[in-house]
Amino acid sequence: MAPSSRGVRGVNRNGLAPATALINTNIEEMLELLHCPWDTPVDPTLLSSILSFRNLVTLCVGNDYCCKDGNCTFGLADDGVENLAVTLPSLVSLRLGRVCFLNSCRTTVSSLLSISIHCLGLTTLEIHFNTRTIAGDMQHLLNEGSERDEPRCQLRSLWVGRLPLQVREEDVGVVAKGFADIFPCLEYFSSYGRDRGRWKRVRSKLRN
Amino acid sequence: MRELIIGSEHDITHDTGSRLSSNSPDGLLFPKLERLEWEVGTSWAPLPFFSIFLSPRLKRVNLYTDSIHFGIPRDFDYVLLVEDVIPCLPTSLEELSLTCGPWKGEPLRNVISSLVRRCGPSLRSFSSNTRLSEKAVYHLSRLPSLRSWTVAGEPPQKFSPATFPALNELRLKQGAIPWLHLLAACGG
Repeated sequence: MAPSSRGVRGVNRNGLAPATALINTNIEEMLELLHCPWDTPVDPTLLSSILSFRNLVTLCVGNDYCCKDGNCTFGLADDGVENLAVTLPSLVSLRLGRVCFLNSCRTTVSSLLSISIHCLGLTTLEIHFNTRTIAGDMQHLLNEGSERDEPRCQLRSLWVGRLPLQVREEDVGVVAKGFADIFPCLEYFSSYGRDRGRWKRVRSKLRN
Repeated sequence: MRELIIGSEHDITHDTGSRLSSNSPDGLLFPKLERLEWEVGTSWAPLPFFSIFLSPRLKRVNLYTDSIHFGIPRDFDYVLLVEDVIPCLPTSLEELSLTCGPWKGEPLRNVISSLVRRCGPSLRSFSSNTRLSEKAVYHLSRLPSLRSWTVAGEPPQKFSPATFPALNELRLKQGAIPWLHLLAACGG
């Protein structure tokens, strides 16, 4: 990571920051990279602390085990993700846990749109989003699209892992069109689950 | 030579270290060395000969020890050796990076905390799997160049929000998430 242009607080003759500096801490401005451990639940409590660090460029919550007792513990909704995207516009890399196969989270493709509009420098993204009604959700976003002319991020690859994609063949086109609207540069879905073939079909229609 | 990188696959034996030391004019192997990066491998035998690399022009030192784990008694000795190295670093040093291996657990807490407290203003990056003492954390929090910190375990009970005047990268290991809430409160 490139060194921050922000200055370092004054130091005493021992080369240490003076005790009085404890009052004037500026860590919320300085921090650009934050990695949280694999056992961190992604929920509003975590989010409220993360949002203190407004200049984050890299945020990684390495939660590989969100499926606890058969339930997904990913606890954010679309409004929470929008809050994150608005508050942390400098994000280049965002990984909020490992996308799972349960497809029970409250976030939808609206979260992806919030991130794309507000985090214009984003190049890496992994986040839970629910695909149970993705065709309808995409159609809804596209219908609203004529009212939106905001620029989008340049994301080229979206990590979807084992996320299911149960869409009818006739809906593949609208799903692809929706993804292309959210991420105009999208070329690839990183999928290794049961529905990898369906993700490939959406991918094949991204440029249509 | 101005830069020297020693990977773990190029472990220096005690005999090699001894020969290098005896053949080094003025006790220095590379008098113009400015950067030393050393991933200590399966042996720490060369550490007693560390001084032969300490050119007065040395500006950057990275010591990695991620690839080794021998068990607590030997880890203990190793940390003590690294601790002895710290005061020998030249005053010209601008950047010191320390990665304190896979060690964790209370038995090593005191020695690694002691190692931290020996580090001066040049410490730029510090990583360990061991929860640090309150005094060690307080020391780290006041270092003006500490940009990257990998922290394990919960904050000390008596620790209050502190400066970390240059902290740019924070990596929290398992059990360290209370640090996030503490530092967020500190920032607010």
